[in-house]
Amino acid sequence: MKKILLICLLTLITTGCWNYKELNDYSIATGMAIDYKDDEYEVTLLFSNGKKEDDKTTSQVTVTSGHGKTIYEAIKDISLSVPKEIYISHLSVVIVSDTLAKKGVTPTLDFLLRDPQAHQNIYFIVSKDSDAKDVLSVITPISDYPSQNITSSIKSTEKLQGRITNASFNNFVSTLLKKGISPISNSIIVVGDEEKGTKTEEQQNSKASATTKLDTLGIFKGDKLVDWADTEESIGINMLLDDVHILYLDIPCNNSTIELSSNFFKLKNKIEKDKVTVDINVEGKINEVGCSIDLKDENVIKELEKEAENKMMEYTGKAINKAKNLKTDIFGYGNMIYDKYPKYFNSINDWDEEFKNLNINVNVHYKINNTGALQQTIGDLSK
Amino acid sequence: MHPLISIIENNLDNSSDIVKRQINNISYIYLESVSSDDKISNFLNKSITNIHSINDLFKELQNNIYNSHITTIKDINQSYYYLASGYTCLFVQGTNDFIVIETKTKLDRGITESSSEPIIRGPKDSFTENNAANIGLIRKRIKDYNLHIKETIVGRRSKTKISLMYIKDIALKKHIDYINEQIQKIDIDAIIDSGYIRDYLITKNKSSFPQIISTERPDLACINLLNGKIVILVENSPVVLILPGCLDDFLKSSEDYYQKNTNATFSRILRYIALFITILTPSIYIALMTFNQEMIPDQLLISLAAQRSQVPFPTFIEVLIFIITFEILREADIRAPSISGASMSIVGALVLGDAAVAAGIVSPIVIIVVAITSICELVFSDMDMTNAIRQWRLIFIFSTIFTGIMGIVVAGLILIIKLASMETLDTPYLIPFSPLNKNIINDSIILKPTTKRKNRPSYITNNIKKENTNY
Repeated sequence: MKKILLICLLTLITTGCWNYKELNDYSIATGMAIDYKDDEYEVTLLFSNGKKEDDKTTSQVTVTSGHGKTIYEAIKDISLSVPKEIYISHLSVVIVSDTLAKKGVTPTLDFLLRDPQAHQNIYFIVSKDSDAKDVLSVITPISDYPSQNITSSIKSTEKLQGRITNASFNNFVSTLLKKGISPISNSIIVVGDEEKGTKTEEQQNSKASATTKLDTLGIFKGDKLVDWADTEESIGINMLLDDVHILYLDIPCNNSTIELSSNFFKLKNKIEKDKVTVDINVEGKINEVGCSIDLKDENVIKELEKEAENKMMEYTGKAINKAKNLKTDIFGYGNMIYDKYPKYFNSINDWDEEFKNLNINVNVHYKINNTGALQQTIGDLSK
Repeated sequence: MHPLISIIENNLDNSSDIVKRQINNISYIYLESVSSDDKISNFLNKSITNIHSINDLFKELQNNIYNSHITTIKDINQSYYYLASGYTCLFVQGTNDFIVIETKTKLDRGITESSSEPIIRGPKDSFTENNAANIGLIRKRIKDYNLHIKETIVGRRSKTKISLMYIKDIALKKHIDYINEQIQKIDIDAIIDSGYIRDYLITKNKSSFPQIISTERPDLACINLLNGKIVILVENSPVVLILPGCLDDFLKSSEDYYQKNTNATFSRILRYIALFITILTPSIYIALMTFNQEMIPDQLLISLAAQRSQVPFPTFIEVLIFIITFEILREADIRAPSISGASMSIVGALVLGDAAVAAGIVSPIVIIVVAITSICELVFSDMDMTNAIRQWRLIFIFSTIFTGIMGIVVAGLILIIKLASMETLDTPYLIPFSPLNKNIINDSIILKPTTKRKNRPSYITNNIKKENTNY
């Protein structure tokens, strides 16, 4: 018995606290920005300072940049200026500049996939018209950490707005690896004065000098960014990808608009070798009526439904045209055909050429099942 | 004066509490420290007038004093036991036989409320140091003729009564015989409390986890008796022992049966959660902070890092410092007179808690961890259970210090194997969960209503069906 105890104790002690690391020994990186300048990567990491909560005078975050031929080298460069070990397990957002995205993002992805520390639940975003580094540096009054600000705004708006995607790093990579589909990504812009926006005093201002703002989708071809979608195209892309939680539609009426939101969205793809039929069934309700119409009238509702269907057709049509013009199959129809007719798909040399000629039919059916708490409009009631 | 009296007196070395008297040709002796002077003067003195033979005296006493135990004895060596028990020895001139008659005085504090196992709803009485009263507290609850008591006198010097109580047609005979045998085997100087005999009762697979339920509550003793368990009462001890005890028993309270079963189920679930929290929290905290940081949510990690930034010690030292501090505080709280209790809590809570954080010795989260650990420990009233929890908490902490989450898994496996392999009186320790026992599963974590609980546990009784089956 004593021998067994001794052996147990020895196995414990001789391991030498393998993997033991105090939290104090780490610099916790919560955001990463990657730029490509002068044939070199510039990696910027956003560290949380680990200051006591009540200490508002210093910035909660520090931004440090490093250069290198590879991402890893750049991170090593950063570690020279950081007193503690860099810890990237809690990375929540990776921002890639549009220049790098246009060049191809595969090298970047490789590092993040290969590093055992990095977890795959990161948000992958392309910065539009500004350096990725600047996006990471903007301090906002609402959230303490810029990276947290970005992730939480993706999480909250992804459900409410049809135009951004829930593009986690994992989704992006798995899409990239599949046949006959190209990925999309969110984009982010800096609105306002970038220089001022990096100061800590920003947190005391009620009106921020600069904020980051999620923008429309970036369209990739393979691992290269080819173009930006505009708002309507973004909504169309998300609709066709069945990535819509609530679909908002503005329908013009006289000089004003009627706002519709969906509470049911169902998409069905029917795949044939040279033809794709998309059936979209939406049920929605009226959110806001700006003009004077009689909502009790069945014909008026039918009219509205018709308008909504047209609007959706317009969005999807624009999205399809855009993708066809860019010769990139972001909807993944190639992948669906590959699943159904693998032999046929393999006989095609260049799917992207083929995609351009693919016949995509979209059928939309919109049904308004709720007019909200009011049956009439305010204008009618006051009469 | 009878010659035997002087022998007794000599053997007791003329102890100061000896009282002897001679009335005509009858002499008697008693110890005033354990006897009631009133009883002796009121009953005894009046009964012994002109009597010449011991048989006459015996008859006379029996006719006049109705409510006292009375017997004739030949062996003088037995007289010491009777004298110490509060009897009076009566000698008649010219005879070596003598009569002992009970003239006991009341030397106990009376039946009070239980201080160590309080309940809100239910009977408030608790066992006392008086053996007869303890038996009475059980007897008045179960008026069944099958409730049997087996008495043994153990302890070379203390001559302590140990009473075995069981319900004959429910408890298993082999268990009664076994316990009786073990009690007969006890050969020690004295038994001061029931704690003295527990080591004799559990001889194999000893563990820090208690295998004997000890309680002050007569109602809990009765509930267990009715399930076929065996209750051991020890003279001069307010704590009775109940055999066999399983893990599940220590997570039950007698109060559970007095309230709505849904409420009791809720409290039992809480107790099980508390058991896991109190054993595991410190080690999980250490594992997360020093090995597996990636498991902490982003925001919490940053806040934890901020709290830790001022603390110079490694996390496990921080935790150990505080756990030991709390244990000392607890020990002090038990030992200290209640007057100084208030100042202690002020020092404990304010100085140790608040000031230690302000001074940067520990981080606030450690105080939260130790506090939740200690509070959950207080859920268990059984001292042995608390000690077992304390011991295993330390085992978990030490295995975590070296290997992180892996250490928790390994220590957890060892704990489960240990518990699952334990047996008390042929009863698996983890019953009714392992092996699954359908008879009493409705009285474990989930308590079914009384009308649905129709079975007794089959591992300690052959008489499984309860009498309320015709519901």
